[in-house]
Amino acid sequence: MHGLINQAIERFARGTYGNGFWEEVCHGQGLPVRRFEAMQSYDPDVTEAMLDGLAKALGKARGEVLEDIGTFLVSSPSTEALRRLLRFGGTGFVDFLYSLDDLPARVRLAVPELDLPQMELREHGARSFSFVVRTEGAGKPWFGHVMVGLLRAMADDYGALVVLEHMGASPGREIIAIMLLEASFAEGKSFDLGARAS
Amino acid sequence: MRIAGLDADKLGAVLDTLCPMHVLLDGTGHIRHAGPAMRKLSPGGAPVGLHLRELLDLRRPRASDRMEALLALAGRKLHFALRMPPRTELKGVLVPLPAEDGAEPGAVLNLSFGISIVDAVRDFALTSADFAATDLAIEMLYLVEAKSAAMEELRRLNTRLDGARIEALEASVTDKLTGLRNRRALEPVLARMTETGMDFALMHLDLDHFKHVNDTYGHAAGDAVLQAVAGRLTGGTRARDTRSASGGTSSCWCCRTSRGPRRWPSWRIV
Repeated sequence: MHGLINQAIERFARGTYGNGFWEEVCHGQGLPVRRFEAMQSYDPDVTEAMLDGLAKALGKARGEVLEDIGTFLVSSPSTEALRRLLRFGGTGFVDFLYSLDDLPARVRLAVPELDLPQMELREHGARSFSFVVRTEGAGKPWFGHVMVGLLRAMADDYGALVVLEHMGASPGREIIAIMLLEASFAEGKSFDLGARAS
Repeated sequence: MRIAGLDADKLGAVLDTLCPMHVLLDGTGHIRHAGPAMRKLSPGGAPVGLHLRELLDLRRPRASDRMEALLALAGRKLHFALRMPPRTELKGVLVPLPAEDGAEPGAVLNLSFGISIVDAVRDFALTSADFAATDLAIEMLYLVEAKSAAMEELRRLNTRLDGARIEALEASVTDKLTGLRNRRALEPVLARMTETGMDFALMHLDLDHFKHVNDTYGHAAGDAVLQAVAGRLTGGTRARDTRSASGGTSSCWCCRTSRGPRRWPSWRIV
């Protein structure tokens, strides 16, 4: 698994619940590495163990933990760079949704080794969309849940009011239902092309 | 108002979407219409009515900035800079408008940021609406930012690895118990001093009855004695001297002297 993903999980746990909590989770799962490097690769089992450990420690379902991670990635000041990169996708929330089709290609431009699942937005009406995440391999589905949390936080960021639901996974794909109630419900956070994340 | 027999407003509206950073010039080189992005780059946001030369300075190719001269450069790649600070560099291409019979000639000048785009976006508070939908500018800005983030992560990794390397290096030449240098550190110092032929002094110390301390009071007490000796050795010598511990009870003190070994301050230690 790419180090960026493990690091995201680590940052979420340390940032939200503290260093002590993270140490305990790692200890409980027998993980020797507790600080992940963004530019290294790790055994996929390590990622699975981290997620299982977090779910157990927090008393939540894995999917819920993954959603929280997705939200954290966009809303935490420590990952502001990621929020900015996502905002390059479009000027409004619907534009942004469509830009996600290109997200894996965009990510590859910046970090060639990081492979994200293919995603596809389907428009069923002006306010109703579904978002399909194609997962490869036999691993447990996870990316769709992260996307639910991430989309929810990005909707806030754009000031859009949406209802999101993970509709479950079938072999090879996860489906997320998106209802856009109001495209400009609130002011949203500002995005200045020329500013830089520090 | 018409340019080259065409309605300037209608033509301008089309161009505003296709190339937001353009100006429509009349036969004398005056600006008759400017795209939304170009207006942001102009003093007071109102370039209409200015002569092109009041807004832009033609840098390459060097030519007169009169309209006839510009028309002669039609289709070629032109380099401009804004007349006013921050004198952002722009590239552009000029296309004459096909003038109908008897109508005054005119031209479209389309401009874009070259490599100056990253600064320009900040200087002029541009948004994605200031670029044509087909423009790769946003992708380029995205890439610049993504690469910077990736580079920053690599830089941090490098700093951490370098810190770990220095720590490991330090540990490999340090005696863990006393904090003095070990034999591995002493050898190159001695070798260097011998090679360069400089004056130096070497003192070898051995602790008597150390085994007795260990056997009677325990190893913790023995360790405390060694640490105390190391403390004496450090306190009684200069920072640039080399102090090393080797094999438990013996210590070395190696000292560079500038005027030959006259009075050894060994009494400070023993």
